[in-house]
Amino acid sequence: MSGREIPKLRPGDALAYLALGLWSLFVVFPLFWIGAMSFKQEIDIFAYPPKFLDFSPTLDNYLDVFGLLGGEAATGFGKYFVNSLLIVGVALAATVVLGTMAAYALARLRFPGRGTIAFLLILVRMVPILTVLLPLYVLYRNAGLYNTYLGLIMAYLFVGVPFYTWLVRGHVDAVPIEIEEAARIDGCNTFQMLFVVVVPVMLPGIVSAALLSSIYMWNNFLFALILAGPDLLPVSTALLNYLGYSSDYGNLAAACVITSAPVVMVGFLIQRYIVAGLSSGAVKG
Amino acid sequence: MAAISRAGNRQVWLAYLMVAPIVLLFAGLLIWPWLVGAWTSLTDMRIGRWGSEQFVGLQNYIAVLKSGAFWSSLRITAFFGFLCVTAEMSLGLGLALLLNRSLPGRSLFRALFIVPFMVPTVVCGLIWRQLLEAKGVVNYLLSFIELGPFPWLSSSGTALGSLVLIDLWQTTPQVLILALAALQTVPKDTYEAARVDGASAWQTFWRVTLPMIAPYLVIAFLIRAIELLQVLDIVMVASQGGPANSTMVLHLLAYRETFIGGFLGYGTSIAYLLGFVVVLAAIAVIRLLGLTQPKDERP
Repeated sequence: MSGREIPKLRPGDALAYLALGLWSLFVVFPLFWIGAMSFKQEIDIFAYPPKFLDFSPTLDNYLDVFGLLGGEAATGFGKYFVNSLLIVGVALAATVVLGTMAAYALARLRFPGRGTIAFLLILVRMVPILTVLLPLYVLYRNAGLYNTYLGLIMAYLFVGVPFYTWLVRGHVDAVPIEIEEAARIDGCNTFQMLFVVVVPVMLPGIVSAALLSSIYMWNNFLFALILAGPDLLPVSTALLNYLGYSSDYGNLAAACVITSAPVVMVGFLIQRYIVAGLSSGAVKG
Repeated sequence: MAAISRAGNRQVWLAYLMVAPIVLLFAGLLIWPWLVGAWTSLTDMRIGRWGSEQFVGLQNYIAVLKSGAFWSSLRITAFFGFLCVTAEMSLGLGLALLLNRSLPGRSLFRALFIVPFMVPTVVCGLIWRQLLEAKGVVNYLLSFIELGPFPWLSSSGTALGSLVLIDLWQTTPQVLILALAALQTVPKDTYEAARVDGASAWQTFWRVTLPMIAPYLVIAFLIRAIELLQVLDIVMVASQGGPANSTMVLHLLAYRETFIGGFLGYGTSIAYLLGFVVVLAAIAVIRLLGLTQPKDERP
């Protein structure tokens, strides 16, 4: 048997497909349902028996969520979307710069305290987040950082940096040391080495790690819930606060779709990386 | 190792410069808050009465340990964690085994299966709240096979089970990915050899595959167990701990005592009790797995 031939179907395969198909249904149906709901009029949303495809679609829910119909929900979800872009955008840029440098130092340089930092990088991903957020709430109030973009962005670094640094450290490890030795002979200093030699080689890894971190930041709702007031909320938190208890299900569904669309698209782009990245922490160490 | 002697102190200095920002980040946003939190948990600090807090020693901790709410939350957390981790591991491993067969279209299935992992938790909770309404679509579909209607999230008898279902939808991909990665470490020849020796698929799994991937499964189990011990966000979105506190996990109890009750000191002490347990477990796991060992120093 050569490994390259077209796989032949075996007797058990029909059962395998059945099981995979059932799980696919379980995965897809909730997404389909909220998607369909976002295009339904109120009368179709509350219809019983529920309507699957036999409804006349409308864009009103989307328009209303963005405040374009002048309705009650016209708090303008667009504002929160911009907040999310701003917070995640700035925090991500800082994460990439700071995280890449730290990852390089942790992977390539020897210095006292290196083990402790690596240890903290993993530990912060495992601690109950309220042990940090409750005191941070007190500190932010005293320092005037409560309900400020600066405070939120700093806190979001905490979501992105440990994860990003951990992933990129793995990418630095994978860059052949010979490249650096050659550059060193050519007279590169360490910073040139990192940004001119190493970064270009691992650029795909950096981009993927950054995008994966941005998914975590975008999806986070707890930080802003505790550290910010109504005006600064990112979409995830706003969704929980303003629409989570509303009975306007159409708007709610549209807001869900708008909030999820960017991350699901990014996720599709880097799905291979997600598979590799998620397992690298555990399988390769 | 030669790199050290060549570059010497200059390199150490450079290294510190490069890690300085994240060290400051840890100091300011982790270590310092932890110290502040330790202090807070020893006071009767309340939200809205800033500046009037008194040092009360270990009173908060004693009150927490004496309260029925804490022990009931601990039981709920443990039960929820046990159900989730068992179901996730079985389903995750099962699906990984299926995806590990050389079936046409398997990469499509894999891409599809990890989508729930990307959907924001808030959205995930809202979707399922819709689906599981009393007159919702799930009860409607179940009526065709003569099941239900179930009260799902709205009854204290079924809410925790509903949360397990939601958790399965959202986190099975994580276990699935880990299990799939583990399965791919098993050399193809091993299966060949087992088949030549006349082993059935069943025997091959139990005698060959499982022992080889067991270490990875243990890792996945430990990671998930630690995460489930401190589950917060999905419960917050889907059930807010109710009805009748039937889904009040520990982490959520700390949140609600703090922000609903206003007892910041008391709430912090609950979070710290949970944190103490989790950090001990996490340190044990990190050490056990040798995760912090640099690549070149690993055996």
